[in-house]
Amino acid sequence: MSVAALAGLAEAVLGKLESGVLVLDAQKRVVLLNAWLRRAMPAAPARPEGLALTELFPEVRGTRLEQAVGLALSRGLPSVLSPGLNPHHLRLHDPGHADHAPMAQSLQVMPLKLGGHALCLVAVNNVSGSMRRESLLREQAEKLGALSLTDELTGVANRRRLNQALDDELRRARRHGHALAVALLDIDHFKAYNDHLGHLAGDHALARVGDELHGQLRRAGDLLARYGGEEFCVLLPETAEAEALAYVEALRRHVEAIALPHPASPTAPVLTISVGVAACGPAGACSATSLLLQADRALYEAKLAGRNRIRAVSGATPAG
Amino acid sequence: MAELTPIELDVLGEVFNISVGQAAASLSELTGESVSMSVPLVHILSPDKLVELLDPERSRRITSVSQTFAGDVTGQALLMFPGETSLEVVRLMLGSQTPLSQLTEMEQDAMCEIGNIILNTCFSTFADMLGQHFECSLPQFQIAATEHLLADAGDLDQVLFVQIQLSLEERDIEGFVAFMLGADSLAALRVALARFLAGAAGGG
Repeated sequence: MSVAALAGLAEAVLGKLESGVLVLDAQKRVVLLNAWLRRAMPAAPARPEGLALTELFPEVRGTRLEQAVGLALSRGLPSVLSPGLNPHHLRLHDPGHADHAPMAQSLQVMPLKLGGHALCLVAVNNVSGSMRRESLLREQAEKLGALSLTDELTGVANRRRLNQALDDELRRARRHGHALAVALLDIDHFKAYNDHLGHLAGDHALARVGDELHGQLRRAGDLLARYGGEEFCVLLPETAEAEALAYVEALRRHVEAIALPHPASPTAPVLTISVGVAACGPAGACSATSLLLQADRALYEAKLAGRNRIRAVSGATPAG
Repeated sequence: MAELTPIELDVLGEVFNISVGQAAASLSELTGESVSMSVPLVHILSPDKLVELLDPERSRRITSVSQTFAGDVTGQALLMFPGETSLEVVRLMLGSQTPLSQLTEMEQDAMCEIGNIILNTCFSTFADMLGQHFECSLPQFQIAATEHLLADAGDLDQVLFVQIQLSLEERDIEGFVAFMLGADSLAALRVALARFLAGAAGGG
């Protein structure tokens, strides 16, 4: 094939290519801009050849792409610019989208040597489709993840989520020298409630108590989880025992104040809760298991002492 | 091939120290996260020793980004993260909320870019300090068993191995940079180091 024929072939191939090709000279001026890239530009000039990169694509000024072009020309080093870190290096629109949505791009910036001249090749690929697929996949994974960590009946966190959060918070507490408290809450005489009013009413009561407790959480790190049948657990990061006791006493009162009638309760005419609290001091080395066991023990003491009350692991109650 | 002298290792340490400093700055700028890197430790090892060091149990998979380079000094440069740490690096940098169990295509691309930035700054500093010029390939992403990863190094005497510690969002992540050099290239590197040391002595 003759040189002229080869050049013609190269031009035809570049014109047919379903990806972008931009070639710049040592002064970062456009030598070649292929048809695909031209079509993806909102307003491609009739004659881009000879224009500076930043005249053709003003958005490139001062960006990593401009640096990468410099690196290719001055040092001969190639770069990849991935869509994960910045999908829109060039202002291009996605031809697969009618409404001129921006094109997510993956770029490769490569040095070229031609007859002793340093050139730079920028190859552009449209990855909008894979970006969309991946974000769809991620959304699904998030939904599934949320589902697998939520209690179906009450909508609060489930035991699995609690275990994860407790491990995370214990690690954080140890690292920063914070205290941490957990409280186990149990609805008093719930079996009698169910037997007397039916399971549907029992489910409603559980969901209501879950809702109410959730509304009483103090800050973002606090977590309410369904722990077992009629048991909830509240995880209280950065909270020492005294503060935890004051807080769960407020929770106990709050539940009492909802005044859900509990005709079968020997403790009170309304639905009440008993609470056991265990705290881990700033210097303490506690395990998740030991904290939960201690809280469970305190809960048992609260029930023995007559229910509708709170107990800490030591058996101490708040003043008053 | 004689061992590199302590002074030669020091110079290499300095080259990489400048490189990782610049790479950390670029990565911080790129990701908006605070990225810092420890002073790198430079070793010269046999490929067997390297496998031993990276993966004593021969059970790990290593994520790597590699670029080949050719010039007076020719070889392959690799940035490696053992086991799950590559997932952590990418996700901290991309700020992914829901980690999937494997790197997605986009995350692999991002990993390539991160590796490319680190390796390119190494190449640049090398070129500047030692007066070398390289032709480099685009970065290649690979997840492989340690032995497989270093299979190409089988016929090499020695590997220039650099240990770096990346700190991201209070988390310390250990990564490694390795330059696989043949005997000829290691000899050429020593010549360049000698020239650099003579220049430094003459200039100072």
